[in-house]
Amino acid sequence: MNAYQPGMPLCGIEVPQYLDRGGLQTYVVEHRPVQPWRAVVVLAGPMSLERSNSYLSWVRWARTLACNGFVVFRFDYTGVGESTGSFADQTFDTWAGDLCAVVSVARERHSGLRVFVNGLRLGALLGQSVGECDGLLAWGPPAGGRAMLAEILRRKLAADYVERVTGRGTHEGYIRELESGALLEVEGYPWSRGLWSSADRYAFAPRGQHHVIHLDGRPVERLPDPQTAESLRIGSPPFWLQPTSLVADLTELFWRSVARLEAWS
Amino acid sequence: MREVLEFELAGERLVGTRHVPSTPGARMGVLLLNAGFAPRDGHGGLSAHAADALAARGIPAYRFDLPRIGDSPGPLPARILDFFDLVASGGFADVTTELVRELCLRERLDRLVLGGLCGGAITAIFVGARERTRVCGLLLLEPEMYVIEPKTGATPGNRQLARLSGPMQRRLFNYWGWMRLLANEGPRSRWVPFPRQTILAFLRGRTDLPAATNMPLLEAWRELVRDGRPSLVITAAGKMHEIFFDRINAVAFRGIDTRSVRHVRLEHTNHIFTMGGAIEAVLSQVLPWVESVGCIANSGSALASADARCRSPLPPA
Repeated sequence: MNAYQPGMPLCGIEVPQYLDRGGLQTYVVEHRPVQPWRAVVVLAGPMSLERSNSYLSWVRWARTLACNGFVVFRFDYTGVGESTGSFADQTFDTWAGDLCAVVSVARERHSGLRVFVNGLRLGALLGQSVGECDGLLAWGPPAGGRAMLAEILRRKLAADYVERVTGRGTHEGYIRELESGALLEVEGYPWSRGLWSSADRYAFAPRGQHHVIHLDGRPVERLPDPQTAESLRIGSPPFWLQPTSLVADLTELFWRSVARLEAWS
Repeated sequence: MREVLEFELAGERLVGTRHVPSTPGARMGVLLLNAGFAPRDGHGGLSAHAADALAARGIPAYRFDLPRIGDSPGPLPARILDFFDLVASGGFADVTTELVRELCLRERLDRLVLGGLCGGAITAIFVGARERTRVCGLLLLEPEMYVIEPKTGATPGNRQLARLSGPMQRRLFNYWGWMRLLANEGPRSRWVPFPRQTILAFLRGRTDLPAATNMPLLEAWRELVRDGRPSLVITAAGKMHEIFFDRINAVAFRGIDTRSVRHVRLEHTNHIFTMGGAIEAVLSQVLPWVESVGCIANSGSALASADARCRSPLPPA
């Protein structure tokens, strides 16, 4: 594996651009390595603050893939990062639509190549809904959308506690607020009832060609299917929560992932 | 509407976003820098929201990833403290100065309001002091006015003590441990009975600068204030950055006219403004302030005549 390290020359070019999608602008960065190309990988990232925390590692991973001959598309979901749109109007379904749109563009531009989706956390859940991809590589998938949102809500509660927020809520109280239709500020983003209810439809149960890398170091007995899943322990806290290093040691994860994608290509 | 911008400056590639103003012709814009090592949209999308709102009012707004951060490539120190040290020592000032000049040239702007959160505010101060004509105002969110010794977390003042002693003593003499306790930011601080207000009052009454003061940054900041450059400072009320900022200003600005500085304190929020509705609160302060500093006008007037228009009509800090 050719590992990209910050400061190294890029392998090929990077083209940041906007896709115009009926009044919305979806921010996409296409990494085009020097030919020959092995395949296309569409990266589907995590949500909201997890995106900010993991960004340096995510970009480094995209560059590592490019250095190994993969064309890469990474993008921001509507209402997040560089993409336009209101976060409060978004649901898991609209974000799945974003991913499908980027996969379609990737296919159109590189019609002779296989297209894989590599999803982290939210991206792993959404990656299941892409019909026209040739394989899903899932990193650290939550059990489902609700479980993931509940985990983020617990982080909100912890932050309320540390910051001594007056009149802070409870887990159940926050869920009641969401279900009543009120917007709830979570890590700086306004969660809506639509987001909360849509999450219920996204349990992690991939079909078709897929491979899962759990990042919590769970024992083999806890892997649903050792043929399509493996386990790896990355540093704690994980890079999408609170980076303890700007260049997190993800060598093993990158190595295994490149090997899997090469095997599929 | 947003557009992607890419600049090559002094061999470094910078990726940014232009927020196209609703009405064309403005000769002044706003440039927002990265908050620490976060990508250019900011935590909770703060910078992206601010830039959208400014553009909707006809003010062109720009956000760039500085080299090494976000989509802009470059070598990155592995340790976070080394990165902070780089920022605190003005390590991004040269490239940002180039960026300001290039942006003004390419976008046909006479001047810019420059700003950012935490590290972005530090770089904005350094560059603002250098670029007297092009930078007409500063938007400083949670400015970090102190330095941290990269390897130990100690300050220059207690470095020797920290070196001589064992782990327990190191904890005892850890300046930042005490500051977090004072600011109520440590995970254990709520359990420690601590006369915070008394100690804070004592600190505010002191006439010397703390040993951890980032002196080059303070000099640049003092120059900007002396110059009367309009600045909007927004801090999380009662938190470490604010306590430090207040203490430094109390000493540094004795006898200096600070009417160009407007300081807003946001209650019930954190350092990155992702709690307590802070993002909306920041926007509600930034938009009228940017308009009020008077730099943002549809005019092609000569730079020399614009100084008077940049004076802030706002009340003293």
